[in-house]
Amino acid sequence: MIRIILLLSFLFLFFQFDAIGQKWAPKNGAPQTEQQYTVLINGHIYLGNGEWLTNGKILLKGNKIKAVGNEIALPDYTLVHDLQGKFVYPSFIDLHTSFGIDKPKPKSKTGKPQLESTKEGPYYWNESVRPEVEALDYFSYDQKTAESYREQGFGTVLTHFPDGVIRGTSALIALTHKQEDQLIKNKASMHYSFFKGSSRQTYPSSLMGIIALIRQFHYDAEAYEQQAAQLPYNRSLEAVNQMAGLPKLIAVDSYLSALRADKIADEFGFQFMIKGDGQEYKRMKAVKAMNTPLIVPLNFPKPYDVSDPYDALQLPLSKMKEWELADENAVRLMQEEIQFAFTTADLEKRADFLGNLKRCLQKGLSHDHAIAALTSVPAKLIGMEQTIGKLAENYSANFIIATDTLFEKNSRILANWVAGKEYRLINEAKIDLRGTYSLNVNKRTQFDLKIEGSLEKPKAEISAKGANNYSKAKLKLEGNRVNLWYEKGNQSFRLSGVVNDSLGRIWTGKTIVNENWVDWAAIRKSYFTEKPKDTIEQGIKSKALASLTYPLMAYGWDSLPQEAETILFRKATLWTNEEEGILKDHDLLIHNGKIKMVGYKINLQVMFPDLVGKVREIDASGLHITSGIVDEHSHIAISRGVNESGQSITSEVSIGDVVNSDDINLYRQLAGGVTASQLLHGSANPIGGQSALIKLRWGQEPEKMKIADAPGFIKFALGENVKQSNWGDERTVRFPQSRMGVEQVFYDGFTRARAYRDEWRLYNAKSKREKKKISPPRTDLELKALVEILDTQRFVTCHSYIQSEINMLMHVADSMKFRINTFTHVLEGYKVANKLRQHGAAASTFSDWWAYKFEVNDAIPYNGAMLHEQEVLTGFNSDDAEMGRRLNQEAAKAMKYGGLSAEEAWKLVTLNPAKMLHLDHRMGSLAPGKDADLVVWNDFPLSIYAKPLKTYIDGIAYFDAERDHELRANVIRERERLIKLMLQAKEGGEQTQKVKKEKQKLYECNTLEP
Amino acid sequence: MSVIPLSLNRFKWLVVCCLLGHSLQAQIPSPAPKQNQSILLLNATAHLGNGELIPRSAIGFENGKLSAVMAAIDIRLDTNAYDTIYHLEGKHIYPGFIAPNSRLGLVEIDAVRASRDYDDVGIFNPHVRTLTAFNTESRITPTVRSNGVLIAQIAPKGGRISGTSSIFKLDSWNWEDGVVIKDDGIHLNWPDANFRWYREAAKQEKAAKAYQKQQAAIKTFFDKARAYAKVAFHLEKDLRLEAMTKLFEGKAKLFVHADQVKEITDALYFTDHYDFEVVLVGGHDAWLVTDLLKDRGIPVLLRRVHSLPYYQDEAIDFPYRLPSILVQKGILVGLENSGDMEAMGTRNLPFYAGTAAAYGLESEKALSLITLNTAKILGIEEQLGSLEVGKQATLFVSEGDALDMRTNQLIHAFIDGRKISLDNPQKQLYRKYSKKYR
Repeated sequence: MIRIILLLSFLFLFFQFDAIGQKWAPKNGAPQTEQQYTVLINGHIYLGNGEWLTNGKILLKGNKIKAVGNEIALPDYTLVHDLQGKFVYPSFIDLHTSFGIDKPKPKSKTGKPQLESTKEGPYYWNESVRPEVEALDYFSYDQKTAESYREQGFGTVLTHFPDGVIRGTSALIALTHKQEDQLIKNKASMHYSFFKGSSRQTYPSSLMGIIALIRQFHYDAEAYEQQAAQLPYNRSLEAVNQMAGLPKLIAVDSYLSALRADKIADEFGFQFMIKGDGQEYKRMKAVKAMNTPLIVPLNFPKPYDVSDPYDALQLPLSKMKEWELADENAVRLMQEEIQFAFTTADLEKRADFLGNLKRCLQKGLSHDHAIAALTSVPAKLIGMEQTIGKLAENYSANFIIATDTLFEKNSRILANWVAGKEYRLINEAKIDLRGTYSLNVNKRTQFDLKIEGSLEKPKAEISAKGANNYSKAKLKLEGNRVNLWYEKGNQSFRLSGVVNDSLGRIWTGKTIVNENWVDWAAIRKSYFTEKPKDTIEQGIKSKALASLTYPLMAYGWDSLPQEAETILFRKATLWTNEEEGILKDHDLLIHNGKIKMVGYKINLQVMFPDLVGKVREIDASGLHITSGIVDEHSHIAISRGVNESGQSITSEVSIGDVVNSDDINLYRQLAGGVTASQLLHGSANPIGGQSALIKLRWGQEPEKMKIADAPGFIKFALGENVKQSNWGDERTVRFPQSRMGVEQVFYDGFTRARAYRDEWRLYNAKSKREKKKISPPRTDLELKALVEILDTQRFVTCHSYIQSEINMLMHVADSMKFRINTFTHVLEGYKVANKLRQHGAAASTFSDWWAYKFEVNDAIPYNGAMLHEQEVLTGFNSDDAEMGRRLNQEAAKAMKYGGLSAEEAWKLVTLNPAKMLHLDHRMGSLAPGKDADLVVWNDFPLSIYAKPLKTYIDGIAYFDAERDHELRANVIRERERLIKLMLQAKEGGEQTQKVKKEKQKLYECNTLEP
Repeated sequence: MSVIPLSLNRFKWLVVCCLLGHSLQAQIPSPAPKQNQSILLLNATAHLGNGELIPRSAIGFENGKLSAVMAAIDIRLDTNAYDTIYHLEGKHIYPGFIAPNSRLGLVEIDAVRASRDYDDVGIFNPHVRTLTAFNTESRITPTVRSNGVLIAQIAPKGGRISGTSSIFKLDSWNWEDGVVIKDDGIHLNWPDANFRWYREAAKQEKAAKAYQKQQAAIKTFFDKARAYAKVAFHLEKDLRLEAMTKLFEGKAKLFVHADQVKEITDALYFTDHYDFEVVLVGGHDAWLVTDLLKDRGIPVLLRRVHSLPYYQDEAIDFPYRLPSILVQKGILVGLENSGDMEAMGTRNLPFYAGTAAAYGLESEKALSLITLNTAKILGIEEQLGSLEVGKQATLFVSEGDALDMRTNQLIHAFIDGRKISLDNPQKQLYRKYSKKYR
């Protein structure tokens, strides 16, 4: 019924029916007519872009503004509101709400996993993809919530169903109780998020899964559009194609995810509006480079209660900085000229919104930007800039009346008009009682009465005449009726009476004294003088913004290093990893991020005259210099899930989509001499996800950490993890549960991949003209990645333990005509070393791990040495954030177990993994032309006593032990400064939050997201 | 088997079987027989464990006890008095390393439930003891021994009181003849004061209250136990309290496991109520309360040195420097290794001491962290922990510096003077498959 009415009212507006026409909805009793015209006069009206209209008028009819100006011809039958110089702004717009829609309750995640969709009907195969959902179907106007929005100045909200990755279309709602005016626009936008929501389906279990799902869905939509006639009907795909033109809004959890979302949009040629987490300040340059509008919350963290220094220990500097910088986000967005709108989302209490907005102004956000972010910008973002967000003819009659501009600390919103209907937020007192009085009761007792406080909430204090011993009295004013209640000298007085005139000069009334009704009166002695305006002082003028580091945490850079150094290391022991072996007393020259020369007593004047004067010479006598450590198997620096465990084949997901540049473990490993890592997908499924190959360029954003032109890699896995052997009794339903099944997963994947390749080859072989007649095959990201393997465009690193499975996979690969590039872990590799060599697979193993699972019972620490001796390309990896800090020691274990020479052992963590990653042309040894990725050691690098003094990547010292010591001192200083500030905030009466003990989640191969 | 000469007595047959065994099936080496010949280790660098070093040493032992610890040039040395002399120029001798708070022998394969025997149902479980569950046939133990760890305190995990530990030498036929001290310690896991992952203030309050309650429960239990211990005979026996009496009789120590400063402080003040000896295990934040520890003479079994920094802001090498920081403050420190992959990782204990040496501690003092200090902390310093005359001949010879993985290569090892096998199932597999490629 509501829908019909809404629909009708929509038509009603659209066709400009005359309002005095027919009544569509029957009324109980004679219908009342609505006031035809209303005019508000004497207002300071904000017209946008910094323009004000003083003493302006706004003429309304129904829910529309008919005119705004100083001189407006008023129709005769017009109701007049005198604003008495109050300030008028357009009502605010919030684009990220679920107003009037109940958030679905999370379903129980216990019980057997649900791998396939249980949603009945012709919908997309994944339950978290629901483009067909229309918010309006779930909408029911919620009086109380509407009021809470209006109190903060909002008149319009965009509401969507807050569940799932693709959440369907929203409705633009006016916050009025009048049903016919509630819906401004249905299907106003399409909503996405990086959150799975209530779906119990196992896929996607990770952020990278969510990202892959969004991509695949869009490819599916494209294919459906082209081939709808041949395909079974699918409501979800139909819906998304029908809604293709709508603005798209995505909710993400961090600036990193904002960058990720933007990347997807770029790939498909659309643009997202991104609802961020309000911490975009962490990496403003990258955020600006997206060139994408943002919707930012004002959810500022409360100061932490650090009064106990032991509690403060638990609180990392990063959290303290987040507290300090939160209210600077908006001004920084403004400075970078990034388009943004505000939302009330994520606030603990919606009522905090205006207060937080004023904090932004204090930090330097301009008034006009603030208002734009709440009115014209959001209106424009959803294509409604002709309807809402502005005070002009034919716009919706949505505006707020404030006592003053937003710049005044004490300005308050008195009323919020939505769709031409006034919602009074504060009942303005007509009489100003404030001042001093002399009060007599029964003509005898005399008191002094003092009234202060705000106009609407006056506060009374009373004293015996002349005694100046004021105590509180209760005062109530209704209309001109006044009530005063107080206690003096063991007596309580209850006075009741009236204020005789609008200036509050004389109050008179009756009270009971000694059981008799007697007269009382108060005579005004003085008027209250209004304090001068308390205008917000803007930070931008008075003081600088807080300092930032990259990343924003301990050991971050104040400013990122840009230039590669030109350095000549003199008299070092050079571990070349080349034929020359270990060279004592040799020189090494690096320039432009590359190794320029390795030699004995390099004579600059003769050999590099152009570099004379530009070179810093370092006396490295007694020091060892090696190429940087390459970790073939790492799981650090990954956001929200190392495993996409939702399906057995997930070759469509990629760690490259979720690299987390703000992981402290990057710095810690850099300090251990690691310069490059393969960030691998976990081992939860036989065909896992694609890898990211990064250099540990600490401080840079994810895309700048990735190694340019690195070949593609993908993770496969075998054995207990993919069988889910150790994951409890519930996880026993996903295929495969046995090593027999594991083999068949690979045959299934590659059989389909070959068919897919054939399908595309057939299509690609057709002429242009033929292609026009047919539609291209659907893009399947999962099979596409497998085809890349078949085409030697992508290389496999396979998690493996026992010899039978290693052998099996090589057979699968041989029969499908591809090669397994690397077996990782491969702890029984020593049993099939000859087969590995024959297949051409490398082995990336642990030095000495075993006994943690049944399948590693035959693991031996001699594995590495044995494989190496059998001429299998062998390396040691970390798989562990802690071990990644001391891979040099792990390499040394190959000397202990199996007796490799130091030189050969050292290659296990440098040159050999570089070869496995097909990066040995640029790293892994000290050879001219290779990247200047170096470690300077104080001692024999394989010794337990060795420490990296400096770690260079591309000729930049990303780690420097001396600088590290300065940073430690900085961390302590910064912590102390911020702790002091938080203690001040606490003493200043701010609410605080307790420090939480937070342990960073460390990913290993088999880590699953809860 | 048919090739074995019939003349071999039963014992020798067993030895041969073991030697051949590797080619048939991986075997746990048999325990060594009692020392019946005197042995002299000559000319090696002896690291005594007590901070001292003898560059060219003479270490003699008979009947399982050290009889000579001196310089090889010492005129008192009578080389003729020894049945066997090992000439060990350039080699290094160490007292057997001691791994405290270990679950060696209580688990074979971490992921296999059937092989896990270190944790039982219940909160206060002092009566649960590792003594009888310790598996001398563990495939892991020989691999640990091969790196110089010859003694271990086998401790239970989980609960508030996990149970009672015992100390073993890592070469025996069964737990009975392997045990050094039965039921040496009771292990108390101090509750977490920062049990607050809640956002809401109310829940935080609740968590804070929970901590108070947990502490009160500990106090009640210990008070009950003390009262119980005062009476020799109980008509109605309480197994849990019975197990606690050892503490109050001074026959066992209390090992309090706590890492953070609040917990450590609370735990120390709690133990002030009682007379028993206390050891702090874990102790990441112990450096903040060294005065409290010193006043009470409480030593620390410090958590795994090869750990990530405990707090995000912590200096990258802080875990490496912690041993040196605590030692410099005058605390008696030993190193322990509990955590992930604990049993198999016990063999890396020497390298934790090596790291401590790399980060501020003098080498011989770093060695004490896994020898004499630990022996003192466990109360076995009369017999073990250092090379001193009269102590048990539990020691080993390494090719080089045993705290560095490059040179930790054991040549000989002795437990009570018995020359133990340094073979292990992993070496057996190594040999087996080396043959494959020959």
